[in-house]
Amino acid sequence: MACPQWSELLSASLDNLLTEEERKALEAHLRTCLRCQKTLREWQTLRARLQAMPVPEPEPAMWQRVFRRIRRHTEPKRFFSRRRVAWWGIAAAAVLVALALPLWQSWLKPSPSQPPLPFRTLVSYHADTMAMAFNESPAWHLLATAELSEAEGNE
Amino acid sequence: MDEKSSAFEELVKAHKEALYRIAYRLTGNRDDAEDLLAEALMEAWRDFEHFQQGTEFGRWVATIMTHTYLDWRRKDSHNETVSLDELRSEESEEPLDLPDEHDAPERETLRRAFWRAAQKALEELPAEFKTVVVLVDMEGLSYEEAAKVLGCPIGTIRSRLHRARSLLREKLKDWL
Repeated sequence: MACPQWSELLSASLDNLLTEEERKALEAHLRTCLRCQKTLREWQTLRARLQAMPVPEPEPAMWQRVFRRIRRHTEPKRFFSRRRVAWWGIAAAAVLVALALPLWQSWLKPSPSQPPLPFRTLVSYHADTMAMAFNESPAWHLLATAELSEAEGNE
Repeated sequence: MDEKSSAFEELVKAHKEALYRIAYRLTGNRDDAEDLLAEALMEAWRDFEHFQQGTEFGRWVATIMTHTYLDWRRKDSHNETVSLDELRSEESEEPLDLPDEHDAPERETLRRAFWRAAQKALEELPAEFKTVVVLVDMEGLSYEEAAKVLGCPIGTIRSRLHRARSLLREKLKDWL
């Protein structure tokens, strides 16, 4: 440990930042103080070793990534950017689904005023309707006329 | 890319090695160095209007980067990250025997062990002290330049450097 009153000057002397007066005073002190000599030597060694500490090469793709991040900020925003179009597409699809879902549900469900008919009733209803329709159809008239004339011929 | 963007990118490319080196020295690992670089460069871009031609671009971005780093440390969010480089290099850790003068691999092992110890000691310094050591002792800036980067008087640089060197010497005394 250096003498406290000389320690800061000792540090500044490493960077050649002493005035002429300070330098002479420190040199005079160093001639007689082994502790400060040792501290100065160790600081010199420390600085040399810190300067020699290597900086590993960055990953090859690092600068590409950094420039990509910068470009995201530096490039003017396009209204129809790919990202924006994608988000608008997703939003539009969500709105469509939200609108279509109640319609789909109401189409699937019968309305409460018309309760569902039992299957047999449904079949007989449709059979009657079809019979009525057939009775009134031109085909029925043709068939009936043909049967009538055949019966008259037989008589 | 418009004229302003390409001018900015050209300046970054011209100074990228020096900027990466400072970022690495401040953070001590490649991942954080990349984040620090990117954040500082985006900040530089936002303020590029105020960059004056004739100013040293590298020094200007280094100033922004140093302040970004100090903000990180204040927020303490990046203070306790584990260095991947450190983890990778831990495999080669050896006991600290004195090297034989002719034993190059042994010397290399010791050098690496010192770098790890020094990196740890630097990490443990208060951020303001560490930045001064990085700028002056490792990057070779003058007190005046460091004072401009950190925005403080030269006397503050001198006293911080003295305190930082004393702390480092204490932490690394077994290596000196």
